[in-house]
Amino acid sequence: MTTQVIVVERDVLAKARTSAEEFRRERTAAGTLVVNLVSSPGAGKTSLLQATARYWQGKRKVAVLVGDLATDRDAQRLAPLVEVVQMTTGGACHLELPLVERAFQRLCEPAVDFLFVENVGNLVCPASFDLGEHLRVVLLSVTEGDDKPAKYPKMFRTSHALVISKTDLLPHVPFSVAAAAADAHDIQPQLPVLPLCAITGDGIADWCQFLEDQRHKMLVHQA
Amino acid sequence: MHEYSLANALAEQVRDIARQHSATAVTEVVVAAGPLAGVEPLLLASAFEQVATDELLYKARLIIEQVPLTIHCDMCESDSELKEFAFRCPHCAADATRVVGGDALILRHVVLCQPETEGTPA
Repeated sequence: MTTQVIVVERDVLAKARTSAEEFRRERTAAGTLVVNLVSSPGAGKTSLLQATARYWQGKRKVAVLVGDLATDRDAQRLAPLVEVVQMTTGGACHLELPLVERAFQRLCEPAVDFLFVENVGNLVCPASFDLGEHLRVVLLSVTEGDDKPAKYPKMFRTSHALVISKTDLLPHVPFSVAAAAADAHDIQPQLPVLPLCAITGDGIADWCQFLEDQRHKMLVHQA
Repeated sequence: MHEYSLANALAEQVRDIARQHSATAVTEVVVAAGPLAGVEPLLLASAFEQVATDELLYKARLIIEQVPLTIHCDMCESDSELKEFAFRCPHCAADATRVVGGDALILRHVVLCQPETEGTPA
């Protein structure tokens, strides 16, 4: 027997990233902006999607792929508004591209303007996995505390926008939007910060405009 | 516990390399992980132990090297190692920095066992 050292120097997730690039390219060509929504459990991802779908009802084509460990409750909440496919992950703490691709195949009308992927509620594991999204948006609800960006740097570093949700509760909780934004900007200096409340509708117009702008950039960049 | 996913991806990549080189076994797998790799070394080691049970991998020793978090500044073109998660350029305070090291799990090298090739003197 002989031994041989093989030098590799390759990212372990490089293969997965190549597949994600391909999915992203295909969606770009179809004019679909893919948004990966990440947050802790209960930060309001589904409520935000309900408010977004209502705002765009009849104006923009939207579909949602929603991931949860168990139940299809989020899908049930969204189904009256948009086409939605539930991904039940069993025990998995994050989504990976093959799950997203399989769910995407099940959409009746995949050629939408905006495809949202609602990730499993978790600020740790989903940070490592490219789902072929154009935008990763992290939600932080004011009841969670403004220290989350500093505690979960990878998630905030890899996100393209920060939504601060449940702003109607600001008078009742010790949460500083400025402090959360400052910590987030240490990690990602150019991160856009979008405060909103899905229940009252405050900030939803700005959020939707932000997404429209991002989709416009994608289309122009592609052309 | 996404370390299982990473351990699976790592094991798959190592098996591919072993097969390409007609190895009979892998004895060492060396990876590098930095502060933003999202990897807890103890959890990765235990996950790898559980997925690397096949004939090719069961002897493999996993070595996890720690590498620093490094950014490149697009304004002043400097590279800096970060001690904290503060990503503005320490030299010119520019916002536009890119992480160039320490944000991924990198497979550095593997050590393979191969049978003697034909024609090699015994």
